[in-house]
Amino acid sequence: MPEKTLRIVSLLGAAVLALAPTPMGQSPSSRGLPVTYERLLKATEEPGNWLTYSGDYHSHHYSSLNQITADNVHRLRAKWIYQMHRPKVETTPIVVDGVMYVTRPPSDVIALDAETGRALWTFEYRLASNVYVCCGQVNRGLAILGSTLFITTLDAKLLALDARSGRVLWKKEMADPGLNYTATGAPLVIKDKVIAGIAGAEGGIRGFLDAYDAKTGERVWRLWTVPAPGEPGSETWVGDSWKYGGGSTWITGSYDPELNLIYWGTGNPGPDYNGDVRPGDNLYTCSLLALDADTGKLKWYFQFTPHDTHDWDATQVPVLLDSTSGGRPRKLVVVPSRNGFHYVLDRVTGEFLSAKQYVKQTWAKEIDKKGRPVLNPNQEPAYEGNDSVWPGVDGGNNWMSPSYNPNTKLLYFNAREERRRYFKTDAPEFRPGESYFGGGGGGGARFRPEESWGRLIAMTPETGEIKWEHRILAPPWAGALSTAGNLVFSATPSGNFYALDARTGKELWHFNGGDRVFASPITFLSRGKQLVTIPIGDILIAFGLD
Amino acid sequence: MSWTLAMQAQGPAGQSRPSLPEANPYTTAADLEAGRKLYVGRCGHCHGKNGEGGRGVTLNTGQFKHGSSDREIFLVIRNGIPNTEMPGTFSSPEPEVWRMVAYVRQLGRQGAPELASGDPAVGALVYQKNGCASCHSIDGKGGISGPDLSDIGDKRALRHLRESLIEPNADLPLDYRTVEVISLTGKSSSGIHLNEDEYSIHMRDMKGDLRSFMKNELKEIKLPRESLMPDYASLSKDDLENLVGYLSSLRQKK
Repeated sequence: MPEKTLRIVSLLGAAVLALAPTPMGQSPSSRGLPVTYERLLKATEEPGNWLTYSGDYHSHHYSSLNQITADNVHRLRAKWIYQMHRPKVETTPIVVDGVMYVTRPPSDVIALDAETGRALWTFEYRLASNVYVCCGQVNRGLAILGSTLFITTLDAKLLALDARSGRVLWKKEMADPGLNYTATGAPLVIKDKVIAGIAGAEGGIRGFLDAYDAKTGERVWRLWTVPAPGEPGSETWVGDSWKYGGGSTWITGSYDPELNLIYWGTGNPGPDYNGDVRPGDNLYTCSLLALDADTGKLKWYFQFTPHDTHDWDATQVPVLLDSTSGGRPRKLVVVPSRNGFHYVLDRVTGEFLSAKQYVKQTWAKEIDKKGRPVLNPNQEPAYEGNDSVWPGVDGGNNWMSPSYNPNTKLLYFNAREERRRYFKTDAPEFRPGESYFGGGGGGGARFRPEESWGRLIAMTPETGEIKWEHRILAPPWAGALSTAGNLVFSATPSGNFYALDARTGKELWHFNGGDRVFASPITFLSRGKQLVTIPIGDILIAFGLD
Repeated sequence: MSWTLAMQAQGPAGQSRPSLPEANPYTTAADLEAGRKLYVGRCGHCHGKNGEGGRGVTLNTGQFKHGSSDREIFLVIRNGIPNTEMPGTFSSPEPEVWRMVAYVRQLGRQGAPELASGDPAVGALVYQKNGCASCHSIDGKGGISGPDLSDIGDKRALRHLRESLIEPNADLPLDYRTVEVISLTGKSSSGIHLNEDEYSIHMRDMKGDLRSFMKNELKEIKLPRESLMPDYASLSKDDLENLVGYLSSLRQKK
């Protein structure tokens, strides 16, 4: 072919290639949708993204990104803000290839450009009814599989949305919101199923954990966390108390793909604070459950607080570690429990290995060799109020995300030092739309600031030994994020978002966002640069190096 | 509807709210009893089991500073009062809040306001003689180191007024804690604690000026949890009762 024709042909060829449609939203060098189960299994190998609530199935809430380091974090500055205009933001976003998917109270979802914070689409959910909530209209996040997002709603539904447009693909009622069922937690995708928990133990629900088919929304299994008469564990309830027994499942659990076990915490028994109508241990409330992921059958359980009357939900994020215990390799699950003790269990069998106190506590003389607390006297809620119980209603630790750093081998989490005035009222009658409390916890840090504070603890998780801690003025609610840049990020109730050296706890940077923080930081790449985001007050704010 | 319009129509939670009734729909005997139990457990430790007051204001005078209608009382119980120690009941369902309203109204009806035995006119002279106005203000006149007393008679029971005079430290309001800071150069500043976070602390000093300090420029911070107010335990019994009578007479002008 003559040279001129060849050049024209090659130019045309190049033009054709340039115009060829690439899969929507994908730039040539990155991976976008679909997010396959295989990618979820290897989420830690995609540190530029944040693919699941706790970062990975072992719930380490850790990133191997190291552009931002202990040496340069002082250069961190605000990059963008997305304003939610809502009180109490508890959400953790998901980031896939430069698109951030985030929930907003009550049950909305927004897709944001991760580089600029500009909204790409907004899905606004209209609640079907007046919902019962104990603690504010909140939503903690979402899950993704393929190109589908999954969220739970305050009126106890599970929704599947198309990630590209925000359109609803299917909607499934988990339970009747008229009976005080509500849902606030981020679901967890496992294989082809969506695992979703329920809330409302302060409203007299009977708790459960569900698995739904990700494609069709059909429920695949349900595990009731409070057994009906005749079922195993029902001997720990009396009369009809199991019907309103609580045991909610409002915080996202963890998954071990090799053992095929889901680990999920359960909430307080109902009625809260007044246990007179429910003598017995009240299984499986305030427990960690290990379930077969395919069938939902309970493989083992461990109850942290039998017959709880202090509202010490065991809805902590269970952190899975492959480590050693007693000198030999062991698969562990570690939980700094709300009741003030840090527990180490064998996650294959549920065997109790150790418990160590990590905050001031007055209620237990010790945890015995089987993991059962030996109670101290005079620690129960009283009609007149009992002022002498530590920790308070919100516990030594609560639902906020801990972080495990494989480099420092430390577990970072926020601890609360606070007591409350535990009071008891008469046992309630169950009434739809009304709360089912038998008391409450008055007073607290707000009234006693000089004797209430917080600590970001850096602990050797296998032993409970505290390596260092960072003191905070008031008991915190924020989660922790640690990174390969030798950093730990968290935030204080006064709105200060800060970074510490993960090795020593030395404070390196902070930013005053001016309002309470109820959520966790995450980190990801946007256009190749590392960003860190956190909700502060009613905004979501992103930081990066200048 | 555009997104913004939808928000305005629905309210911040994104759902339609029926408007709050003016009058309490929950006033049966059973509602009252339920309200009593809720009150004793949640409110009694500050407001007194019978609304006689304590750390919280008296509720048995029938006068409510933030509005006396059922609806206004409902809103105070539900939302709390910003910048005070009165918290809202977090997300209690409306029927529960209404039941507490019913009981609080009953307290207001039943509690005969205590009558002070002292003479307010004589008490006003005791107030002057002891220099109370150097720290306290009434109707815009006086100092700002201590709480304003313009309507203290509406807010506090006689027992509490008496106790505040004899033992000011017994129940120190959170917004009148004293603080002393010592700078790295050894300079001391004292005042009323206004705000604080992990990095800064803020006060109104003894001269009444607003001061802010970065904690990394301070050697020491003392929060002694002591009142700036000296005690008046040495007042004669008559002086004390007359002063209490005077303070109790300071009420919201109708």
